[in-house]
Amino acid sequence: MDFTPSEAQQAVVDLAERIMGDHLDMGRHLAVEDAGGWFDRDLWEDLASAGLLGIALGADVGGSGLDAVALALLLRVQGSHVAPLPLLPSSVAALIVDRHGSDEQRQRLLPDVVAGGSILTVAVQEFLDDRLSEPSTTFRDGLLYGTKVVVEHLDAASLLLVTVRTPDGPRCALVHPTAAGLTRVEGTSTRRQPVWEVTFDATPAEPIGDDTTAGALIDHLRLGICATQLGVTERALSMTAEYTSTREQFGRPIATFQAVGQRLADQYVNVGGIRLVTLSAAWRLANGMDATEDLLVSKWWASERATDVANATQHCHGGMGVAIDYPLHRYTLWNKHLTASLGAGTQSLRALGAHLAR
Amino acid sequence: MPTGTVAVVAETEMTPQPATDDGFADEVEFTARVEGFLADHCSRISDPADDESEAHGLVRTRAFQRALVDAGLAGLTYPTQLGGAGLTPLHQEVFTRVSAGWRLPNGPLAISHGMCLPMLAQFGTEEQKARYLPDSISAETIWCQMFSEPGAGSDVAGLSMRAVRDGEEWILDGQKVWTSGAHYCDFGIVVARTDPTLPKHQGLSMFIVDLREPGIEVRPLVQMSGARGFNEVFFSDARIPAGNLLGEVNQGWNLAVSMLMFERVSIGAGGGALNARRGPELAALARDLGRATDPVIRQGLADLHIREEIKGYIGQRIRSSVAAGRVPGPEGSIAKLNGAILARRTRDLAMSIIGTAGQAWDDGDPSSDVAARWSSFCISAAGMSIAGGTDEVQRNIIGERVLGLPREPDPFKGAPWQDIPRN
Repeated sequence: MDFTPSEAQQAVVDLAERIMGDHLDMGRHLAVEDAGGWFDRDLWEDLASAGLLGIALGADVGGSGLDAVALALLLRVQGSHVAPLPLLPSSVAALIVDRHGSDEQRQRLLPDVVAGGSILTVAVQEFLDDRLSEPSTTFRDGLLYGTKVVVEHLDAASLLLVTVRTPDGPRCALVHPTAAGLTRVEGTSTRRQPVWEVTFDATPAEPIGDDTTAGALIDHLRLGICATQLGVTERALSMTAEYTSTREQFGRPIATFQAVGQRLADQYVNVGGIRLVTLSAAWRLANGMDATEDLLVSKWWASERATDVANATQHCHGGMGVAIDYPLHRYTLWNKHLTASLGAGTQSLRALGAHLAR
Repeated sequence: MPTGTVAVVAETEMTPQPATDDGFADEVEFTARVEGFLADHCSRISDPADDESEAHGLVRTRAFQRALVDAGLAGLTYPTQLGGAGLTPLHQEVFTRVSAGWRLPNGPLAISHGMCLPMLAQFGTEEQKARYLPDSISAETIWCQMFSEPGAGSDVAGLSMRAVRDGEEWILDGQKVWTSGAHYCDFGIVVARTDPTLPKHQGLSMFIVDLREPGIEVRPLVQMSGARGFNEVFFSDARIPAGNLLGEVNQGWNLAVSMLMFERVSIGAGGGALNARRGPELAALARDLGRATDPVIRQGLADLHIREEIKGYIGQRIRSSVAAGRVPGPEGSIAKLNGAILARRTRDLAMSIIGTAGQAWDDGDPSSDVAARWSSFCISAAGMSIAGGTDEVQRNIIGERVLGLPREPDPFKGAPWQDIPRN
């Protein structure tokens, strides 16, 4: 296990950092938020032009042939800039199509994803259902029945990758957002992002992969969430270190008060934990090893500790933290959204308990 | 039901003792009167939340307060000649206890009645009281508090806003921030520096300000929850009459400390919506979502029940002291710190109950209001640890004034305010 990024991985990070860092200033964030839709399309096109939308896909479909570690590092950069993009669902869905799809499916779907013309999304969560690996949405005779919730970027996506139940166990299927029998209800997520509840009623769908595909999709989504949250917490913490070092009260920087400095030091330990378990899970997944335990530890640690980090960074900013024209609040809202994605700490802990005590 | 039993026992034991032989009969009669009034004018806590715009909320608030005045239930402990009901602290406690089960539409009056009104009553001249109290009690006028500045948060005594005497007027210059409700308030209580050559705590004075006067500009701040509860307030050559001084010149810090304690009591032990018990709502939510059999959730609910019970006793003790006319001491910090910690625990429990359902909600669907409301509560819970003095400030106060620990050394102790470096 070696967490030092390879040259190719570091190149991805540097390039993504430059593009997102240059592009996403405060004005840009506010403009995208005002426009609605929670999607910075210009930035998406820049990422496509730079070849960053296919880093973990095979070279034969236009990708860079890197692995899940590279994808995790890219999502970490997105998190550190809280960039409103469909990077997580689209990249993970594409990786699953790449690894689990037939040759025909790969050639038909992926080149367009790499070029930025096609966006994929995922539909795995069901209302109040903690058992992600046993979906109640059913797939029989080529048709889907059931309801998925918190589907992101449905307005931009050309295809949904859905976890489904079949007589042979959980599987994955591909669905067009405009397919017959598909209805949608729009809602709002904590990070002010439009999300959809999607109901399938005899909706035609295309099977993809085998009995390992649904599990692989959930594994990679968990990894993606943790990696994004890693970037979010790292940046929120560095922002807070800077703020408390320059904000003065009682004639001195507030970071010199032990109650502030020690609380932030604790957050450094929390973030360090997210970094280590997330990279370990990524490394195992990329090397084809069983990563169930690492992923559950990582999701639990990221959920719980990111909440601590959000609370501490928010608190140490005082009133500034809640003001809409100061950047920190986005990190807090992202943390809350990501923490609840695919089940918050409690659900992960329960799943980990079941896994350890089996 | 176990929770019901506990609650009944607790209420019986905590019922204040009657002051006279007639006191108990009076209390029973008064309790019935309050219950009758609330049944006519508000909805129960357990009813679905009202979703109303702020303007509509203010109209309702004022109408509700007028109804209280008409029923002789407004400003319970204030004298009748100043617009109050002329009743006793016991009546106030009965009102607080009974109203805990109801959703009173008086949120916009939390600061006006929880902080400004007791300050005016405690420190105002007879003339000021006669002029301001009746309208404040009836909510004809609504008041805000202006302490924090961009450079003065936890170190509020270091504030920079100047007040300079000019004949029969004071001229105010500077900026206040995080002023709750200023955009709908008529008056405010402001602290400004009247003598920069004195040490920072000694050169401050407190004033009554009519926010509609020229030279005062209120700009709303948008918060991460989407709400617009806070404001920046800019004073540029704002002239106010000399008679608007509250207390003595350069004695403003003593008054500010009192007002901060009223604020802490109001946040941590007030009788309003801010301190309504969340446990029963969360238990209902757990049942609705099928999580009520989860042992971890059940432990969380039991823990919350215990903590809310204790919080209720802390609040009751402090409120009776305040209603008896005492300015709260450091026990206000205990209530405030405890309230902030409890808000965070409630938030964490709410999130573990609501889980994924708290991640997103359907804007138009009333059944997902619950998710939206808890999600919004969870985002705003952290503010409880900041507003009215951070947790760290409260802990310092408890350490120094309750435990008698030595103060942290202050290298600028005794130095004139104008000689202390600031950025």
